[in-house]
Amino acid sequence: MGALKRILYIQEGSQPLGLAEACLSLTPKISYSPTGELLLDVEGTQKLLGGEKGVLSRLENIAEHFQIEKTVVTDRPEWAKPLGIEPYVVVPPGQSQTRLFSLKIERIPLLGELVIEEDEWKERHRLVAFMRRVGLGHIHDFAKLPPLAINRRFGKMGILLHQWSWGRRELPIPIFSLEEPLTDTLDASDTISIDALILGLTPILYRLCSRLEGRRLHAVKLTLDFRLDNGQRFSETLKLSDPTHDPQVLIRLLDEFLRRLTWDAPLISVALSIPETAHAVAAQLSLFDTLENKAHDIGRFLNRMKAKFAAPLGTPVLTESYVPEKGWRLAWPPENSHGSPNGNSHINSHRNSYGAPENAAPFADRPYFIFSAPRPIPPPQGRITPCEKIETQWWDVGLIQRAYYIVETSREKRWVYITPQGQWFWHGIF
Amino acid sequence: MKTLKWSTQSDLCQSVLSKSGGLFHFQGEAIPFALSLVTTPQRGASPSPSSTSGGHFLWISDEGFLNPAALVARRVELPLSRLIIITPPNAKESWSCAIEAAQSGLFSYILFRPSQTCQGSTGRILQLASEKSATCVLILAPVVLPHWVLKASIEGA
Repeated sequence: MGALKRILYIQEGSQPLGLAEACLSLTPKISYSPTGELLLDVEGTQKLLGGEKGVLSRLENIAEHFQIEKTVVTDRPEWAKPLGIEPYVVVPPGQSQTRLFSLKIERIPLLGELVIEEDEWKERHRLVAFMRRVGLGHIHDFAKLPPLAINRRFGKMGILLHQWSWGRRELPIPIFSLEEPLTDTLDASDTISIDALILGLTPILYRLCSRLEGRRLHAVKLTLDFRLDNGQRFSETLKLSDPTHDPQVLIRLLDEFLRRLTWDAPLISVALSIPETAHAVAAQLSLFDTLENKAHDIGRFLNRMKAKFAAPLGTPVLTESYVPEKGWRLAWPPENSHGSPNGNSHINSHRNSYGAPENAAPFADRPYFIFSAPRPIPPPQGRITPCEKIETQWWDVGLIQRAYYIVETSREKRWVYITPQGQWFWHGIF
Repeated sequence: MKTLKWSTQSDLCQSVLSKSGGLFHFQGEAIPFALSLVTTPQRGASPSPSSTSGGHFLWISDEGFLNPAALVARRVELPLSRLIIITPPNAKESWSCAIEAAQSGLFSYILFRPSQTCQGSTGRILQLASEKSATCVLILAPVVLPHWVLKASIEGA
């Protein structure tokens, strides 16, 4: 008999592939069958996971959001299916063969491969019917027959089943490869509110997060494809500032994100997919170092703000532009101060400790506060000092030609500019 | 509520800011003064973003932004990696954002410039959130605020 292992056999009703991905967090040795059956070899990983109890406890957590119909724990993969006489069967190590031999003869056709061809299936059943007629009641009665007798009475199929029952044939477990995109669809035809939609999306998120955990990935982007009753379809994307595979976090973010959306016809279905992922690398945290924890908390806060307000946010990174509103961009997480925007490393290879290119214009005359949209104003009164002139290149889209001035009044100091058309704009405050 | 002059009472302003959180209204255009207050390390105060303890600085405004180029050019003691900028689409959402930020307790200082004032209840919620989380919210906008929610109003000369 071949070496004994610990094998988990699982039969799943709705999303076996998703469950297979989620089970990658238990073991990398997974075999997947198109019939919705999985074989997991947990011999090598159960010590890491706290023994067989730990493995089964983790499986229970994963299985909460899938429809598992049958679970069998046994020593050999070829015995798992016949041993599954109940929805949940755990056979202690070393006792699988004894348990197998005690089963009725009708369980013999299930020995061996997970997928059996139609013809072979019929042949097996015919053989079992013959075994019953000749008085064999249990698998033990069949297994104790000598091979010569089996060959003479039951033929090659009998020899095959005899070898399976004694564990003399190895069932190879081909490596399961991840090919399926991370996507799932909710039938939303009965959904009448955002709360109901979130409730419907919750198990989907849990399943997707289990799959992410199995793949050792974090979600970076979520995409929702909506299909409406009037035939319209539209998509919305939620980009995460802090990649994660925590379903609770994603539910909260989706809740706030969905409440900002509107649609003008009843919803038919929503497809949730994760098109962009990042590797989940555990950080090395020191017991006394709170910096990484804080960065993580701030990332979560920014995720929430982005989902709730759809607001641009992040830390500023200076760019090579003299146009005030283009002289910086927002980034999260904060970029290395010695990094270079737009890949122009030869321009920005030297930066000071504040992250500014050393050869950039100083901009010391520019104000602390700049309006996002310059405000048109009448010709200013007060002391006017010329400041700077900017003009973009002819090939730039949206030509900008401005002459800036500092306008000082008794109350404040303003940064204004005039265009070639003679229109004044208030752009900043010192 | 205290009323202070920022041009003549800078030490007093710093000591007021160093105490546990609250709302501080800077009358007039006092961004440089506010920046100097929050980037100066105070004994017993919340960690300044310029210190190595890793405190973060949050800017919220629906009508504009704190110019990073000016901060760098004028050598303000504030690494850009510790400054977070959020630009909500309107004044109402910027007040909501400020409340959420104060409630999170993640930021030592929040620089806040809304384009419009708020209802009394909103100001009160922000006041309570900032005091509970020991966050100093510096309101740098020429808006009228209910005085009972402010810890101090700091005016120019």
